[in-house]
Amino acid sequence: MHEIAIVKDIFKTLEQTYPETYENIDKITVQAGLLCNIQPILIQNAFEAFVLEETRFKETELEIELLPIIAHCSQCESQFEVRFHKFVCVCGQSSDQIVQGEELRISQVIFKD
Amino acid sequence: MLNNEVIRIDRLPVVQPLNHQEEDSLILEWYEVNRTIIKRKSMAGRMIHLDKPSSVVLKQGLVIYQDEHVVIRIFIKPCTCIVLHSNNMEVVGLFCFDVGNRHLPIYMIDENKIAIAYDGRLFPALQQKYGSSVTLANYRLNPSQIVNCYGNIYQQILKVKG
Repeated sequence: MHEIAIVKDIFKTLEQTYPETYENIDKITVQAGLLCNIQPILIQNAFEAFVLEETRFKETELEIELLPIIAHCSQCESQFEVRFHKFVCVCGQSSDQIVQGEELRISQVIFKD
Repeated sequence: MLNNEVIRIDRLPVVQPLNHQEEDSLILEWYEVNRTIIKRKSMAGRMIHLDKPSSVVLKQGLVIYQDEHVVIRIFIKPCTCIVLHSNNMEVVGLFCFDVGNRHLPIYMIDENKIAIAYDGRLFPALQQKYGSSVTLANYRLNPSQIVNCYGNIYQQILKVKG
């Protein structure tokens, strides 16, 4: 429910990382895990509201990539995707050792030519 | 035949009668329907730059481009959903209240089913509260199915008139 603040943080991070060129960003990709407690539609809508105010970014795209939940099975020492919230490996062992799914990160930034 | 030209769309076409054109799709996730700028390839490989007015919502099947060779429509990918199946309006109301408090869109899937997109933190909380009425299933979340809060709009009109 603090998605506007998250979007502002994304741009602040990019400004700090690319102070010379950050206004020339063409596309930002953000990865959000299904356990990160952030709903992609709220981030997407917050971004649209942000660029309405910050019109210098109106040509910038924000793409959100949802990451599935991946857990580790200590019985067969492998990783499995958690589908339909079933934290059970194909070998039958249950596991709550999360390997992926809690992330919220900027994964790619593309600048204009 | 495909070429490398970018199809730029800054307004939606007035749909003309179809004339055996090739059908192509711009594939979106359910949460991308409000995006104003989308640059990606269509299913058939055409590069599309969509720059739509913010008031337009991209619904399933919406024609975004049409010429003599091709018709390009929106295709929203189905996703895992948290589904409430109940005939009890009180339960439905409480569920909508809980989900609405998180500002999440709620979709009316059919008469007795409402759905929201799966979230790994929200699902166990809702299942604990609503029990077996809450399940997971794959659905296409189409913006035309979103439950709108007409009550609030009505109250706002009354406030303005008052």
